[in-house]
Amino acid sequence: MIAQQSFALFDEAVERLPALAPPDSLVPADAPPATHAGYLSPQAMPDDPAACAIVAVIDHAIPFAHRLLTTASGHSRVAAIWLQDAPARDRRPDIAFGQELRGTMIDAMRGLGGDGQSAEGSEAEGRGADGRAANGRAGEGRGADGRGADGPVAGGPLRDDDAIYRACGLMNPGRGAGADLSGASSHGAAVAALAAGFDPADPAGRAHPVIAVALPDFSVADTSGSFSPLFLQAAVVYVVGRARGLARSLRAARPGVRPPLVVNLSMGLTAGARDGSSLIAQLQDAIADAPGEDLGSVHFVLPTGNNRQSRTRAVLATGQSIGWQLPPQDATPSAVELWGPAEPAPGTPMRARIALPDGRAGETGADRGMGHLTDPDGHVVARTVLQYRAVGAGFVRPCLTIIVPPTLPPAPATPWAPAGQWSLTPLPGSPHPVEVAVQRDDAVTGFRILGRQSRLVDPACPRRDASGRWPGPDPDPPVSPIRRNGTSNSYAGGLRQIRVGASLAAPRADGVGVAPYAGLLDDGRAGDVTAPADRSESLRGMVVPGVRGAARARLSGTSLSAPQLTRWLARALAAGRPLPDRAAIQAAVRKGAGQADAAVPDLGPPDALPWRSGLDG
Amino acid sequence: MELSWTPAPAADSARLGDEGLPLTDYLLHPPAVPGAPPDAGAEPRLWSRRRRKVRHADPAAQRRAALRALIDAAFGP
Repeated sequence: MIAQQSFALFDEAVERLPALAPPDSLVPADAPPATHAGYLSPQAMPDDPAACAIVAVIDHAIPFAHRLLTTASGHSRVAAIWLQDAPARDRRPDIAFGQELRGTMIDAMRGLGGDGQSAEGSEAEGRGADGRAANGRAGEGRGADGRGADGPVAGGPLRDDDAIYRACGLMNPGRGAGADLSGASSHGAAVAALAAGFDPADPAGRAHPVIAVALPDFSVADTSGSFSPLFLQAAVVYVVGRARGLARSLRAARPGVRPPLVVNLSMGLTAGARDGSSLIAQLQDAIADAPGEDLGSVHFVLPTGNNRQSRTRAVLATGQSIGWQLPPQDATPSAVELWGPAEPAPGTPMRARIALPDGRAGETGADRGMGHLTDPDGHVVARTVLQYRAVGAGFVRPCLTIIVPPTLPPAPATPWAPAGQWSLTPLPGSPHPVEVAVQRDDAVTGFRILGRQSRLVDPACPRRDASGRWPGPDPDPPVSPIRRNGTSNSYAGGLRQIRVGASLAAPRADGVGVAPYAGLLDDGRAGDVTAPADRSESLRGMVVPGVRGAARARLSGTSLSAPQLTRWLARALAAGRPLPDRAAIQAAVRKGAGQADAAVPDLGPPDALPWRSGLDG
Repeated sequence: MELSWTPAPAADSARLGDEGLPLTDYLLHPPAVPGAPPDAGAEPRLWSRRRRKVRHADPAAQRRAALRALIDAAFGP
């Protein structure tokens, strides 16, 4: 099974988590067992469980106590959240690190809920023989973490968001981690609000209970995906598990209900196979294919990414070379992948000539696995890894990964590499065409950027078109090995995932309505669907909620387009519209937007948001 | 050609296999520098030793068991 395969793959990261994760996020040996807690207080339960859709948000720094995620009575619509790098307070059988909160616990911390009685208890704790969970009480017997005897408990004075975050250890500047909710804005605040934020007075919000996972700082501090797959896979599994539990509690109120689930994952990766063979895509496809008997349809919504103009993709024919520019002062390693086409196992070795900026060069070998390119003094200038990734029964894709140490060594006696233009040439006999993919390590909102980005270089690939604008899809035939087609998010290579690109609320005068940074699929389309993330090409961004209260920020990117589709889709599914797959969703958006002929339908500016998005008017 | 390529020890390649993540592995096992102390850069340390003084955490086996339980919660009966 794919989830088990994933966790086995990350076994060493699990082993060495104490060196990676905030120490207090690891469950201590003396942690008390978690008390039973229900998902939602009765005030936050959907009016009609048969007309609701669960929204899941996997992101970073999610302000789960935000007013847009509450009901008119102040009760939380967040049924469950896993704060993956928060201080561990208690022991749950299926939470390996961090802290889990349920809706009733959030209510109790806020001082709401009277006895905190919930409709159902935890599916992992105290399920009865009939499959119905035992009722849990929030606010009972809790510890000094804000959920206990001397912390906020149900029935106490009302507490604001910050008090709740402090109680969870999420606003502790001295901790050195997880203080993200101290900031004015965050990626997770924007995404969660767009996906599932409703005015508390709007009863429609109760039709969309929220399940969330806040990814750890260290897994999203750079977007190279170095450590994130473990946490992403665990997050997806958690979301499905808790959605099943919530579905059972809804069935207690309305037998036979199987609520649909829409999962928003506004994260991306530039390198990697975009053919659906990655474990992340496989897991999501498998869940969407067979959601099980507790849930209705399950959809995963992902952005296409923001790297169309980043020069991170190229396709090389036999004998072609490509420049690879490594910037100076880059404190992080740089990586590039050379992918061959799918071929019958065992596959043909991918080999390459690697030339440094000073002209010195070396050729990689045909041996499977790891190798090192060293200079005469024994310094490793590049590590290579040749793998044969399975892409189907009996078929593999050879992939040569080249990792170069930082051009700015982080400490004495650590490897470093020369900055400048390197050159990569697949050697004769290698499979072709060769797809080159550069791994970027940007930082998401709220993080200091450590890495500078490497990029591919080819004189025939100008950065701007003749009019000075950013270019669109590749011409046919392409004029350069560097491609803009095929720059979409590698996490979104699955067959079932819904890929959302960014559009401009006010298209250009020449009719171009896609944001110039939005990654493109292999065929040049901007996604399955687009949604606006910018007012126009010159007025970037849209207004999104900040971490607390009425704070607002102006952010941009396909990360904001995906949750708009998530919101639309959840509403449509809750209304009972049958939208089983990508094609049905595209058709429904086309119909709703009156774009019968559009190859990529656009949602248009979102309506009925509880704030002004700044996309129109 | 002044650079030479040599395969890494078999154990290093076995660690990754065909599905392992090379960049993650690089961060966990960066290459050594000739003449550097043996522990230089040997382990990524995102948290200083001072910050690491905390209560005794569960062993890795417990974390693995919790992840297995999470899979059961999601896909079990």
